[in-house]
Amino acid sequence: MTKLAELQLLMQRAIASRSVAASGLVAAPPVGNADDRIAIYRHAYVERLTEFLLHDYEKLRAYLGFVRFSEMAGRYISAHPSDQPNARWFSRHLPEFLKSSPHYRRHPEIAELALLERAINDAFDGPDHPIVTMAQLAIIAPEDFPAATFLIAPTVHRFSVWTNVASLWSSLKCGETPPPSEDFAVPSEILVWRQGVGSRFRIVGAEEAMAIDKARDGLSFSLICETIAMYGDADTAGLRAATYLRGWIEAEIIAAVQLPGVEEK
Amino acid sequence: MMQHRPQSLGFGLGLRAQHYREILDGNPAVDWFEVISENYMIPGGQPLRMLDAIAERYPVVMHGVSLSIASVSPIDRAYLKDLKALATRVKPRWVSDHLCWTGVHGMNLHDLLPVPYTEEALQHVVSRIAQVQDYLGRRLVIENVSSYIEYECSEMNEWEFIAEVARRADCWLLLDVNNVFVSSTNHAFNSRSFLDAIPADRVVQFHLAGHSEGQTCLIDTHDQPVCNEVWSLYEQALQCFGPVSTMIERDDNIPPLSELLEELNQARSIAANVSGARATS
Repeated sequence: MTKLAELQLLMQRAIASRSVAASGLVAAPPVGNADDRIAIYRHAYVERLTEFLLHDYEKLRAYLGFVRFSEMAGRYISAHPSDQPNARWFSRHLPEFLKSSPHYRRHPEIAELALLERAINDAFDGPDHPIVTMAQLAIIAPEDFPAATFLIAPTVHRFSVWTNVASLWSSLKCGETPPPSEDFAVPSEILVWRQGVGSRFRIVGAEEAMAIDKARDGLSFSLICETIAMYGDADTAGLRAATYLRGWIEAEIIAAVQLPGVEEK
Repeated sequence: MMQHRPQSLGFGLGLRAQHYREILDGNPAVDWFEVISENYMIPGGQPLRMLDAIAERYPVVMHGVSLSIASVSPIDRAYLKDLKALATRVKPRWVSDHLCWTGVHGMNLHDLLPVPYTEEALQHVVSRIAQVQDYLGRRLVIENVSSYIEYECSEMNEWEFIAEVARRADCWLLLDVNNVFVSSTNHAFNSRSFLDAIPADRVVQFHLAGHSEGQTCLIDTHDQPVCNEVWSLYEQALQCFGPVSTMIERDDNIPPLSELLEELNQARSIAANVSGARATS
């Protein structure tokens, strides 16, 4: 190992792992001592990464309070040191970390709040995409519609939650005291997307959640209708599917409509 | 043969999200903006739209914090690809980053860590700048960092190291006046010695920023107004280097835009005085 490589490795350990092996590398400063000066970098490391987490998880910080959030941040930083040059991605493991950590496993709303916040952040600066309008949909011939498939925008995130995390998030956004956390016997389905330049989310019914998941899987409109028919009244399945589709288009989450043998609309 | 350094862009600000709307609605008297490259190395959405809109109206330069030019880890090709894609989109007047390393062995400390001023490090940094310049197809602008430590193994001064990097790598320099002041205080060197050693024909940009006082040294926090000592050093830098694109760099405790514009006017005033004195001498 070169001297430069050895120096960088020892300094990194001193900053991130509190190793003392770097002390001999640092010249005595005019004031104070070398260890105190190294400690400035060590302190800045934790503080900076904590700031990244605070930036990305404002509601979680409000829910936990600063002290508990900082304690959680310290655990996360130890478990997931940053491996990306862009700080934007440092916090991406937090929901899974919280879900699996023994410190937070008994409070599933904490991991789910992080999951919701991450999805909102990811929708905000996710890939740009075209938006299909009702006018574009209207020019599709009725006989072609059953075979139409839909490209769901890459900024759409769909997941199930088992707590009242949506209520918690909404209360925290308004600066109100959140309601007590609740565990659900059946999951609540969440849809997160970007409309205009802002992220949005709403709770969707199980049928609509299934429909959007099927659309994302590439099922045609007629197959989506058939699947919906198994959920409820078969006679109105087509109407319900059309209503969902209209809502998705108005929410700007359909990026393209594909007809067999025809270019994307 | 070395090209002439780019003409001064005048007086700029770091672009911060808090000021997007005010900038687009009010067209403030800012000559140019510096953007943090990594903030826009994202898939899409509002930040990039805002950047596009501002780049249509103002000259922009890109300033990175994660190139890690002095790291012994391999250059991150994915990062470079994203950086080049952003530069293609934004068409910046130049692209800068710091003379530092940010991590090794796949880890990123997200800090601008100082380099030992050795011949080994010099050769390493020069070689890496050459690789990045080849890839980006443009000359890089390299900035001096503030530091709290000096390494026992250093064989030269920081200013000798920087001057030699610029000469050997044929790159431009971004002189952070606050960083010179912070490091000169922390390591008890004469900031004037630093300025005198930097080749004037390499300096294309100045940073002005604030700092905080730690227990035994100054901390480069960028969360305070520019202090009197840094204004004074800026005046000396203008005397050394002539008119150079100057900007206020505020990263935390972001004030209203009007406060930054006042600081920028102070920079304009100092530069005008120096320019006037040079003209009459």
